[in-house]
Amino acid sequence: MSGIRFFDCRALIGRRTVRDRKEPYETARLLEDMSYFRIKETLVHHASSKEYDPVSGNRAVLAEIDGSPRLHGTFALLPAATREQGDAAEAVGQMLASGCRAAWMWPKKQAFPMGEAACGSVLSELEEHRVPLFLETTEVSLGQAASICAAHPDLPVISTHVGYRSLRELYAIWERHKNHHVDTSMQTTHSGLEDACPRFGAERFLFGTNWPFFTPGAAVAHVMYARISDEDKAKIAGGNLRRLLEEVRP
Amino acid sequence: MTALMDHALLGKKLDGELVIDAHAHLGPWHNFYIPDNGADGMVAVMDRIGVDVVCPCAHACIGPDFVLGNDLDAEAMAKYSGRFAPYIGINPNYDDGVAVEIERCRAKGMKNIKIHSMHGLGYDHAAYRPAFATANALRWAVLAHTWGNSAKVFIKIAKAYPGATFLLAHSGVVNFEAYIEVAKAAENTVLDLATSQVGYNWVETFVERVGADRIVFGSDVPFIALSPQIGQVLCARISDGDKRKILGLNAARILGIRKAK
Repeated sequence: MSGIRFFDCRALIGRRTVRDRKEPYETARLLEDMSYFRIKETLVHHASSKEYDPVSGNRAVLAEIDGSPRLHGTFALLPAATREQGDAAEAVGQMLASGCRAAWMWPKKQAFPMGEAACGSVLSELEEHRVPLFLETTEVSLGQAASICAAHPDLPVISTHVGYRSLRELYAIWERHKNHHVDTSMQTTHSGLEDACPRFGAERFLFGTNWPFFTPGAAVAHVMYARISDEDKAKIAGGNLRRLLEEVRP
Repeated sequence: MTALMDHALLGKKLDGELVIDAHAHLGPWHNFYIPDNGADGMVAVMDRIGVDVVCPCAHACIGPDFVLGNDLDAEAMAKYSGRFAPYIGINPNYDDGVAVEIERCRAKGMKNIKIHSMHGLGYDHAAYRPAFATANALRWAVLAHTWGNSAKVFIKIAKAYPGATFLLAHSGVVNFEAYIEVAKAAENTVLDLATSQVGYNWVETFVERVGADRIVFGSDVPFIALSPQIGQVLCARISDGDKRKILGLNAARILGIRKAK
């Protein structure tokens, strides 16, 4: 199983507005936990990008990952109309120029509609560059994510926070949209990986810990104890995310 | 890093350890798809990870048909000798749902009781008293579905039935402190770890503030996958000795289970 190299697709760094004191927020603690749980790399987003201001939050994430080859940044993006991040091409261009190759959007938290009228230009720009887009299901439902997948078939969409009760909806989406994925942190249906991988391929799953809210040990064990091939484990653990990031067109 | 943690990180089977899943279910459920939800599918997972025994209460019991559910549990117990130690699922909404059902299932060799708030009655309702009295007299355990503050009712109930042990299902899932309050207030309460949240530092905090002797591993399988649930125990920053208590030694004592294999 030496080919299994964990690459966490979702960890949140930085101070949060509300915090349970059992949960850390420091980048140094994330790196310490990555070593402890043998996670090679992590894709991080910053609390300020979500809870304060995407523009300064994006600067914060770059500062936090600076000098850490094991950490990879993501940008938060807004609709282009207000030009807070420039037009769509400028926003995505700045992100790629900074070295970030994945994006998040939080339409509920940041109060904008996720439809084509508001976000179509940004989504098209991300699609053109094949930039993976992460969307929490608490912010963008699976149904909305499916609509985005339909309108932008070359855009890799990753729905996060997809719970263990979701397979009836998820499978219906996966039958229609090959560009839809989920992270594994809450996708913990009994025998779910075993059931889904033969039907849809292991490519649909990205390893995610939901650090610092969940213990990474749960996420690692979920993959390692799955009754699937080592090849599929390697894809889920990190291969799929690495591939998606490599496929980004600068 | 401990030897037991290594098992989780490498996906190694827990051979030679006593592992009892003190909170399990069995069968399908109405509002989501559960692949391989029968006894065969559960045993496949148990064998992969190295779980000796699960303690189920079939989903039918917490839903509309406690007789069907208990019969499914009894079938699993008969088919996989020593691997299933089911709770008796009761429903206080029926005349034959508590004392009568306990006796019916006891005749099948079942022991310990599962109660669930889905049945709509508070656990301090009189209809539950025959079950608590039986558990008290026979020194059984009662696994109670709880959700945050609802666990606090067991401070009073546990003191009223000191011969019984009350397992607080889903400890920590919301209002984490409520569970510590209950555990400290009533010695015959025990924290069950089954939760879909697998919260950061929860196991460590419970061990520090309540003690490893008062915690049992539960997964909710097949309602939820077993693997992340056991991962949170195996990878916790506690000693292997404490992990062994949580993984099986405590449940063996509390639920009266012996390793069969």
